[in-house]
Amino acid sequence: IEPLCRRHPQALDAALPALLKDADSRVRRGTLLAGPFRSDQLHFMQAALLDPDPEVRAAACWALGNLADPASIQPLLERLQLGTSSERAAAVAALGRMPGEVLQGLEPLLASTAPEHVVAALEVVEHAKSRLFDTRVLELVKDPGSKIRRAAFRVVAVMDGPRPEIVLLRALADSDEGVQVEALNLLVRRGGELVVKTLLALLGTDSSLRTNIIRALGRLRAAEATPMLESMFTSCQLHERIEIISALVRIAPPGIMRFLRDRLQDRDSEIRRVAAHGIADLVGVDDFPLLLELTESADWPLRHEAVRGLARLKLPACRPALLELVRDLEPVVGQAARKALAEAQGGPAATVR
Amino acid sequence: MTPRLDDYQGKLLAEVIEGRFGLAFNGVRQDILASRLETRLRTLHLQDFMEYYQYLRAHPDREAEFSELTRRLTNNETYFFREPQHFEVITRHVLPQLSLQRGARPLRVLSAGCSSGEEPYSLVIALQNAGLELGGITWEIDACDLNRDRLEQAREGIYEPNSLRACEDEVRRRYFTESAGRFTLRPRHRKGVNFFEANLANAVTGMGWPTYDAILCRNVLIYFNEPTFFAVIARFARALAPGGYLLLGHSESLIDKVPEFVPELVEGVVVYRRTGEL
Repeated sequence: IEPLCRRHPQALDAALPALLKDADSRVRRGTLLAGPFRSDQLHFMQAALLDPDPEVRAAACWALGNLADPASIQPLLERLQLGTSSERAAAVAALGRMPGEVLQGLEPLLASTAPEHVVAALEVVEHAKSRLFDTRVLELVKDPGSKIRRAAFRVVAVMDGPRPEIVLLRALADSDEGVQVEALNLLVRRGGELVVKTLLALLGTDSSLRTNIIRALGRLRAAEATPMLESMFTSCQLHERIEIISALVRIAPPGIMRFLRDRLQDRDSEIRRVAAHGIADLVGVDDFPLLLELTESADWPLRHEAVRGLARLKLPACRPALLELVRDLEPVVGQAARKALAEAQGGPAATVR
Repeated sequence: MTPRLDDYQGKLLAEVIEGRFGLAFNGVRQDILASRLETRLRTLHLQDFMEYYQYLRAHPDREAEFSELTRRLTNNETYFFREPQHFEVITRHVLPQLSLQRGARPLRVLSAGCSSGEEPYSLVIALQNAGLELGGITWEIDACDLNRDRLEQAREGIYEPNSLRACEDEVRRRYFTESAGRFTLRPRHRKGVNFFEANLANAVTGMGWPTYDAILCRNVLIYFNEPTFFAVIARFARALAPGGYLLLGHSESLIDKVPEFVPELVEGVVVYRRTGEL
């Protein structure tokens, strides 16, 4: 029924009420998910919220979300509190599409003693970008429950002004590591004047969060982190060294290719692989001989990175090497070489032999 | 948005998984792998499968992650009375064939890769429906799986409607009680089933298995690479009594592969019989 509804929305318009009464719950569900409902048909969807099948009720929530009519808020709030997990998820998504300024009905949920209701309400506030509950949200970032704190920080991240950055930076000292990492990722996504400076200060501390901080600095392309990342490289554990290489590749400071070339001599294969990955990402014309060396590697991922690098260079001189790699013993390498050659010729991979 | 698992990342992950569990994830199965691991990326705050691969290779917490991985790698696609002809083969053919050998002892069956218990419980129901209890025949069903969460669910005996999709309303009413859209298997149909955690690919797991009259291992072997496949079959051969039966999924075959088993066509179903003296 779903493809039918999507392909022939006008033809099915008149049939929608009957389809919603069909004996087969799959038809009712499919109609709700894909039917071309209008605002004046709201009552059909609201009636479907009372359907005996929970999956149909969840579909009704989705359908009501598509219309985003504030008249549906109350019944959706009921599904959010009383429904099955799929109904709750659908109700949260639907409420999150409502205009943020009409969501006063969430207030009791944000004050609820049931953590799942508070978290669900916070998700709605986040998606709707509602500003009605800023004060309450800033209280909830101190809630004893880590799930509630995480959800509250996600709302903070979509708030305007300088205060959210401070609140999120404080969350890096949260007692729960999951909350710390969440806050870190939110800061990366949001950006801000103080973020890099704070992360650099935290980089010196030996904590389990450090791996995530290194990754965050890379994602922020924080060039000022380069000296510190390079200097701490040799003293770090393997997983942190991998993160440092990846971060430096993202930052791409001057001299990065020499750093990566040196890493190809590392005794650990993972370091060599991540360095080769970086070389393929940042390769320039002068690095062509290095790529040729990689094509001879005994480790197939390094040969694969050589293919990526050669494909990126797009030099006529790359073609013989790629033709050789087409016959690589590792099918993934051969396939990548075929694709690279085809792209260089402007044709599909299958045409290259 | 779901991160894409490209061929290169898929191959790297497949190597890690194969090295660890002997499970083969090639070609189309990479799609399955990607969908099952998506939540792990979110939980670990990783952006793509390359980062996940590096986590498995180098992170200090990788052992815990391997445990999580096992929960996601096994195919949980199962439901009550899947391929029901196998249960009929056991009640109508295996039991009479083995009655002399078995004597008064219980029928012993292993459900290998039992997921959340639908298969062993279906067998219990089939044995009960065949009226075997009235004939004084008892059974012991061992059921093992790699996935701890699934085993916990199996022990609880509570199922979503999807697990009962092959059951008609009458069957649902007779064997289950319904509450809030979920179905609890009645205690009487859980009798005689012992669940335990085991990795079939791990040689240690096979030690100490008793001698079974039949082993059900359906749609599990498709996940193993060739060396692991043969190692598991060898373990089954050791665990089965001579003349015992191995029942595989319809897409799995042992024909002309191992000397320890000979195929037999029983009621239109190919089953494999352990060679050796009865």
